[in-house]
Amino acid sequence: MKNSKKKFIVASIIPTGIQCSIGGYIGDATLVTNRLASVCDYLITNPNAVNGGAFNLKDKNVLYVEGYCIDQFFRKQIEMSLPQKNNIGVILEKLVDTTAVNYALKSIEAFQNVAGINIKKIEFIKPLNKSIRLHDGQFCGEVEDITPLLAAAKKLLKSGQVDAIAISTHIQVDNKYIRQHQKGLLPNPYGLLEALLSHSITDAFGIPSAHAPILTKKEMELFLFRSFDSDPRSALENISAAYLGSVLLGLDRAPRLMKYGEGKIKLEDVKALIVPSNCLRSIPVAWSIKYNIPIIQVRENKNIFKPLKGRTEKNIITVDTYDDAIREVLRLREKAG
Amino acid sequence: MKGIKTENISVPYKEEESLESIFSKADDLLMRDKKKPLRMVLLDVVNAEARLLVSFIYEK
Repeated sequence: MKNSKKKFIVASIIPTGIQCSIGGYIGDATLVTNRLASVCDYLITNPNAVNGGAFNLKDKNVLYVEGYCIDQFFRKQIEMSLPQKNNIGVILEKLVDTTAVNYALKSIEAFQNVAGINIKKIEFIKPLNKSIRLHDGQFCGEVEDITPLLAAAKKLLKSGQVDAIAISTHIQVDNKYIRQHQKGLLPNPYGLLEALLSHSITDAFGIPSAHAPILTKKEMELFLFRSFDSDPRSALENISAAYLGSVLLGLDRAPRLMKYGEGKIKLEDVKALIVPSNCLRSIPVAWSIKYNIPIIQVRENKNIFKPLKGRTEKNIITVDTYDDAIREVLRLREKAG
Repeated sequence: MKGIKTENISVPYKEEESLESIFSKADDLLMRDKKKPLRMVLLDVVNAEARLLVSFIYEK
């Protein structure tokens, strides 16, 4: 089926920062993502649906696509290549905490030598001035000056050896927010700021990118050895501090971004968009409505969003569980022939 | 110098207006302020206003 001209592609988007009951932690949406992928040729998803600390257990036909790229794809601004082996460049913050930096470098060695990831170059930058704040139950963020990040990416790309960029920086989060998140009381505090950094690179250079936090030595202890009472869904955060691993494994075969009309992964082949309950507020949803792509919202994936009052969107199918969503996808596939 | 941030913004909303139209209005509003829009999500709709969470690049 994958060699035939028409592909059956589905997109499943699980936003990070809205406390989804499935996918609100790291990697805990992997199971549903892989199950959905088992009934289509390719499944497009956002990195944090499958990033799980040092692990990324997504199946081969899961396309790991940065959120801003997903938006551009649905707006028909870009298309994508089929997945292929990428050469990866890494941008690392040079922190005063040398243990943290050495741990990130050791992770790079590990994934190069054990998983066969082609990591071609590393660029160090001074720590960026970042901030996060909690507003109406959601984390917001700011990076005051992204110029050094863009300069490092430009240098990596100028070498001609790099197809995708992994970014790893330290994000300072108040311990009380981390503990509340680990107990299921707050959304993931890192997701939005991570997204800002990867959007910057992808917007400026049109390449796949993703971010992984570097933990300081003190944070490693907090995450690894003082979190045994955390929600089981956050367990991947507690058994490895080498977060860069999941990003390297994801970018390894991430589809490349192509000009509209030149890619093999086309919006015309997307037969459904699957979103958590009440997540009918995004650019992919808006353009799916426009292009009449069925949108399946899954009730069991609860989050901080309530239904939007006074709005009735068309072509929405509401199902109770991801199993129901799979049945719906199979029905659409049968209909598509 | 370029920065990037997320902020809440509001745009005028007409009953039953399409999501695409709301996002286009938000795009226009940001570009008028010389902010390059990246991602956005509709948070809620109250009477004649749509409130969004947007990420954008700004120049200092």
